[in-house]
Amino acid sequence: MHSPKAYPVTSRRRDCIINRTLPGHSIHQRPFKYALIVLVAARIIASGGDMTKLPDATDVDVVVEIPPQFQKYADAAMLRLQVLYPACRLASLGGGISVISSGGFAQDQFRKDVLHVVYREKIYAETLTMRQALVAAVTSR
Amino acid sequence: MNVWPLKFREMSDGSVLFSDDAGGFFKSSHSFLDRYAADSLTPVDGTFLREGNHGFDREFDLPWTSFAYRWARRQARPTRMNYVILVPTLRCNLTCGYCQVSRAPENASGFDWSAETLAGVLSFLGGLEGPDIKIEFQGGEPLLRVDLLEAVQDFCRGKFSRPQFVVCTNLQVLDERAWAFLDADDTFISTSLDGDRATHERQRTHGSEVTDAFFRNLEAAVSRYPEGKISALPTVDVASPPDFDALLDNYERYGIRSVYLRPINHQGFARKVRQGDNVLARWNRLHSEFINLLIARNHRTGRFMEEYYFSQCLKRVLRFDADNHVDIRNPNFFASDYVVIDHDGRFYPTDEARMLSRIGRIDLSIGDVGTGIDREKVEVLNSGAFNHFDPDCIHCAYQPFCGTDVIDDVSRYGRIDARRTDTWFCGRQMSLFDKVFEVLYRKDEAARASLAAWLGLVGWDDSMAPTHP
Repeated sequence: MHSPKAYPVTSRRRDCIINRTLPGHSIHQRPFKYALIVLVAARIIASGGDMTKLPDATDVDVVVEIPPQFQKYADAAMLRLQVLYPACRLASLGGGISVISSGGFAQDQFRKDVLHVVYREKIYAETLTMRQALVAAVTSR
Repeated sequence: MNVWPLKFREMSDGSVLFSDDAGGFFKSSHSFLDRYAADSLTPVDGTFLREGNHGFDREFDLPWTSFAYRWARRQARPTRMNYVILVPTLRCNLTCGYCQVSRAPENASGFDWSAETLAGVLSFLGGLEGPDIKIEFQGGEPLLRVDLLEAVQDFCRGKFSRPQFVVCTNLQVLDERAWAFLDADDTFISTSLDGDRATHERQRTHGSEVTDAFFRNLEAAVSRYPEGKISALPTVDVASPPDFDALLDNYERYGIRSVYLRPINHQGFARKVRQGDNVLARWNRLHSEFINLLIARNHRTGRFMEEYYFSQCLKRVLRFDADNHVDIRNPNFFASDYVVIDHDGRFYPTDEARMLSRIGRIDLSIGDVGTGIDREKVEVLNSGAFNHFDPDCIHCAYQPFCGTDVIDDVSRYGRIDARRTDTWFCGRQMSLFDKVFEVLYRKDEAARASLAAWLGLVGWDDSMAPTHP
């Protein structure tokens, strides 16, 4: 029901990202309230953190749309994504998360991962007081 | 109803595994995940979560209190010191290619406890309270100094009503005095058996005569002692793993049904062993294949063997208090219930910390038998000894079952705040728990039979691994 959608992003978009100007509305011609732009060099991320750039990779751009009720968690998700995917360049835009990546990159999986990070931030934020109350009750003397 | 935070992980079959902080878990779908994250659960979802004890109405109502109890039971509490690993000598009569503890040559001097150190060790043991104590003699080869072992044994039998001793020995040379020491009912043997004869010789003994002596002594011990007195574990080089069928046959031949498949340790000098690229991924694949092999073999023979650490992780998922293995203990406070005393009388929080200090990268000693345990230093280590609010672990479906390994992180990355998902520890644990849940949700008779045997149950029922559509 919240399956992320992908939109092609033009080279103009990439220039915008690099210049840190984010005119998302004009590019997508749709009213994004929030977007996260991710510039990714295509890499294989092996268990244990080894990262190898894929040979002959071509950059591909992807936008992951964030449903309205999750938008307030997108900043936290972006921070987390920067840690999880250090090769990415991120910027917030409007109503989605934009990924600029390369050929060979598992776009569908990555879009799912991005949305899951947003979910996790929402769950974490909304249940933190529950966890704090639990720990306090169990560990207080 | 308030739903306790659910952590989730996409499984290899496309389903999604959910778990809560108290270790309750179930498998469901991406659509359930979407509904849960978007606060649009259906009445059926609500009923499932309520019946699975994943929610409550008010703080301190019965479901809340029940959850708090289950959460509390999953936490490791500091207990009194009752497990002491002693290294009376670093000298050894073997030169294994991947020796992890920086052994000293058999004829070297200065690598055994002095009389003063022995007195300090006994004084430390004398200060411990409680009726039981477990002493693990490590080395080097501890049986090179049976006299020191006897001194500790005599002292502990006088001080504690339930002492137990484990001698970690290569079983290479056993004289009459060593056999007499091992004969005692309160004394157990832990040895290394790297699989079939060829692998053991290649990795450890390096010659047929020495190999013969080991297997002769192992056979003598097996015929002399009851089952359960001897345990063994293989060290596996991913670059040259043993034939696992032959390994299992050999272990079973010696009456050993629990095999702890152990990778070459990174903490000590063994880090120099070249194992090629992607060692972690290859290790995880090897281990997963071993579990599949075990399940098939158990089903075929009707004689059940286990992989020790996998069984520990399995029990940790399904039971309270199944955290004897420190890698799945959380919090894993140091120098709480166990400590290591080296050949020079220094305390270490773990054997791995001793190895790491030995190679000179860092001094992880925490005092010595003369001055006592340095609690200030222990507290520094303890600051990273739990995973509850680690920025990666807090979102991980395996967090309630997992632990931390500060020493391994220091060993590999020189710091304890490395990105968790990039660490060897996390990569290994994730793969292990992936396998645990894969097996838990398998529907075939072979998997059910092994699950029951490993958990000590009469049978395994699919309802014990809940699923929500």
